[in-house]
Amino acid sequence: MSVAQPPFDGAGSPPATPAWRDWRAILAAIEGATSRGLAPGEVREASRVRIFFVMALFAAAFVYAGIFAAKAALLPGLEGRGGAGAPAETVRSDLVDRNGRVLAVDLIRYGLYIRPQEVYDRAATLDAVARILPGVPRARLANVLSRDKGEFYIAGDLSPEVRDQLHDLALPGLYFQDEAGRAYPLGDTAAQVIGLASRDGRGLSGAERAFDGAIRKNNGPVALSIDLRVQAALQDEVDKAAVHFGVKDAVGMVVNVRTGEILAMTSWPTFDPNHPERTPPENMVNHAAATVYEPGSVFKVFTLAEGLDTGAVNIRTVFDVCSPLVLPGQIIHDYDKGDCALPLWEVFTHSSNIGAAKMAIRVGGEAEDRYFHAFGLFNKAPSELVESARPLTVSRMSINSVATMAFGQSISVSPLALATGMSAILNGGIYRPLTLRKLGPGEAPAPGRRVIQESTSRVMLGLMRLNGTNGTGRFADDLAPGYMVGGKTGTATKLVNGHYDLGKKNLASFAAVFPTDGGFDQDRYFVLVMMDEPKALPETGGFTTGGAVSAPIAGRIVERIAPFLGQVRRTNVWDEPPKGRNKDIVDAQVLDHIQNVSGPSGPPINPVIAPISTQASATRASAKGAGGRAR
Amino acid sequence: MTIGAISRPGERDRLIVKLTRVDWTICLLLTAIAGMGGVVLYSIAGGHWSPWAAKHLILFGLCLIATIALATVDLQVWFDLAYPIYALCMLLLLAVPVIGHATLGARRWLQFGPVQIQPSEMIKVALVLALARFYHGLDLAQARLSWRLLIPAAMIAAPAALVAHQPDLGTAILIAATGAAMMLMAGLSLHLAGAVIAAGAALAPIAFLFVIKGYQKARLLTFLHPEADRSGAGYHIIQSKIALGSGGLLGKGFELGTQSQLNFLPEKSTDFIFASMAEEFGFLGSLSVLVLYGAVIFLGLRIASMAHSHFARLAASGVIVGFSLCVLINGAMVMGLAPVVGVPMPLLSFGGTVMITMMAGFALVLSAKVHRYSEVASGSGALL
Repeated sequence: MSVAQPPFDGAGSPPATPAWRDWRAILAAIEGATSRGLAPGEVREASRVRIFFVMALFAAAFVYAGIFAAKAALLPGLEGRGGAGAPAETVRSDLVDRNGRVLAVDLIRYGLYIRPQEVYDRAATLDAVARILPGVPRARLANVLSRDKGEFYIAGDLSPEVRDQLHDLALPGLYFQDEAGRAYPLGDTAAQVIGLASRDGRGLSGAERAFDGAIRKNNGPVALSIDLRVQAALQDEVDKAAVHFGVKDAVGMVVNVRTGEILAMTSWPTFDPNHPERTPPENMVNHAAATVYEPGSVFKVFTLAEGLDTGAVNIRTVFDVCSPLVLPGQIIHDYDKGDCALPLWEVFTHSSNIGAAKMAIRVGGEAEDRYFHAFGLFNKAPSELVESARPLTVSRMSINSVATMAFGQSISVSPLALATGMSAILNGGIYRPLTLRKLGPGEAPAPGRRVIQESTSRVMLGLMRLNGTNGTGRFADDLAPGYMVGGKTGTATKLVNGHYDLGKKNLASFAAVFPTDGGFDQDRYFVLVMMDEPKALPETGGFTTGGAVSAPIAGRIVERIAPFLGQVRRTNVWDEPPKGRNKDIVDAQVLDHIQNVSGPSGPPINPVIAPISTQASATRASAKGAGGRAR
Repeated sequence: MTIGAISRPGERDRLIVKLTRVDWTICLLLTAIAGMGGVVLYSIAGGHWSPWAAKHLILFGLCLIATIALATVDLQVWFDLAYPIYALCMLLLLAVPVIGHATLGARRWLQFGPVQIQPSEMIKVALVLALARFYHGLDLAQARLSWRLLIPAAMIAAPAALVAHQPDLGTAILIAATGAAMMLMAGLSLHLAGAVIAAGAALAPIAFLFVIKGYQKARLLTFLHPEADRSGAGYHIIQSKIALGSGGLLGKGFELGTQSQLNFLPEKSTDFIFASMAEEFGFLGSLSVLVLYGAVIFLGLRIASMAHSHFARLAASGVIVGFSLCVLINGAMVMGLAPVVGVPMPLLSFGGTVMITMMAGFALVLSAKVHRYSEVASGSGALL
């Protein structure tokens, strides 16, 4: 662009320096234009000045627009949010399982409001909204649309797609509100453990409540101790069995007793947390934590652990179970009336109530009180889950309560509390709260406190295994051969109208542990199955006992989850001792078996279990020699 | 081109010389703006050339050729045709209420066979021409303050009133503002201008209460409080602001603007195309386009200031002022700084008549550059 040349024609006045080159001249000219006007010959210069005056105005306007655009683009204020494409704020971080699989995520959701006074065509609006939201009753829409003022909440939890459909109707009077939506992609899997969050982004139950603080920090996903693979297998088996046996409710748990991590926890009936409004509230209860049950014979694990740990009895101590135990106002019977005198290990494998009660009385109420407190049975289980229920206990220890608690009556605890106490007995004697939080890599388990000696724990593992191979837990081991499954059954008759209704309604449970061999520095898993009021079916021989109902479920669960937990089938699976209750076959082998299960470094079977004898092999030999069952 | 060549008698009238003196920089800038419009129109059609992008680019190409051709037409021709063109456009404008084609509740279009034209757009250029023609014969004292100023006032007011009646308030304001700016540039007394503005400000509330229509009131109120009516009258502004704000510094990317792709943004191909563009290309993208517009305006006004004839100077600056007002009003509207009025973003927005008249205007500007040393032979009086 060339500089303006002096004019060639003679039409104008003598040219000065181009006015736009000299800002002082411009200012002077503008000033002149306003104050005195110009002579006729100065038309060109005057209009030139004014053109640049206009140019300056536009420049200013452009700069203003540019600044505003910069503000709008770079400092997004309120307008920047809530647009069609703008992501809603995530206020809660994702919940994931221990392997990072998603359990719960935030979603963008909307609520629909109608301001009837702004609706133009009420009939058309009614039809359109009813078509897109078939779940909203027509009568309610009609009622809202007949009003003359106000603002009415029509529906919530609308997906962006549904919102777009409504929005695209371009109907006046329809308003949308952002809602904090939470999606649970797994549906009913682990529903109660994962829990629910409210529309306004607060955790209400389960892990959503337990870890609300961490989740609301929104600082990366929160990892639970749950292993989704284990959870799926557990829940599948428990749900199938629950339906099959027509139970009232059912509970399943898998715990790593070494670390105290809960790997799976299920409660039947379950629900779809994506649609909590469609489910009866009782289905949302996590029975594994929030319900207390009279547990029945699985409690004998606690009783025997207590007795053995005090040293007052050992596994060969013989109890007379011939006649019912007569207590003040109460007579205790046994189901199994085969033998008269049982050593303590057979009290366990036969699940003799009389034997357990007599042992508890012999060891004493004070010891039972102390040990059961230590096992956490008299308090609600310490847990992140706020649902953890307080147990029902007797107000005062009497001889009756000492005797009946020994086999799991006159006390009701939550499955969570039961699992917490059992873990302490099976992990070498350290009581620590079970956790739903995944331990970090290399993170040590909580220190906990010692409640029984390690040697007692070994003996208890041996007894569990013995019960799995030769006792009431055979069905569990049969279905998971080679994984060294041990366990204890429980068949708690239910208190109906003030008395125990024998054989009608009961709680069939099985507390399994695997593998029972190996050191305490290895992972060991506790599996709990509880079926509340199963129906008698022909295939279980009409029995509704823990051994007939719950032990096979636990066996199937172990069979399914063991590979995920890195367990390998023992190669000597076929070399295991023969099973059955044929005492002649079992007799010589049982104590040897306990000895073997306890491991080469394990303690001897000794009347006084602690301190651990340094003469292990000698004692073992003598124990083997005395292997016969006293009659 | 050398000074020697153009100083030879008759040399400047040769077509080849005229073509070399066309301002190719402006042509390039206009092409860049229209090309950007094509890109945005392609994107908001979901990556399709139809219905907008292809038509837009083809029309621009044809217009550009015509513009360059028209730029070589001697200014004297424009000067002679100024009043006839103005009269023809006024006739068309008068015909609109009678045989016009109504869309969206307003009668703005004339249908001639397959072609739809919008006389309210054409009158913008015609008015510029006519005013330039008028002031060419006027000396500064008369242009400053005399009874003769009633004539240009009427020339402005008549089309503005007709367009406002269609109703198309935005274009009417644009016509009036362009005319007023030309009167100012021609030398209108600033005292008088100040007095008119003051009177306007005083009368505005009365006009608001009694003259303008209900929906126009709603637009004004909405402009002041867009959030008060999110889904109704405030919808345009809010969706536009969302589009602008969500684009951020670098934008969401080509064909990724949700506001326009998902049809949240109304009039995305016409009045709100700037918001579509800002969403996809961000602040830097929209700033670049604003810079292009600014450069066009700067160069245009420079051409105006360099023209020797009063007619060329006023015509070129009038076209540029109309163009600038369009850009500024549309930009301000999209950003929520001005009420929603139907003013398109020149060359960026889709729209045939707007493109044609805008490019016809630039033909005037380019012609003013090509013929910047020429004088026009005026009649004896202002109107002759």
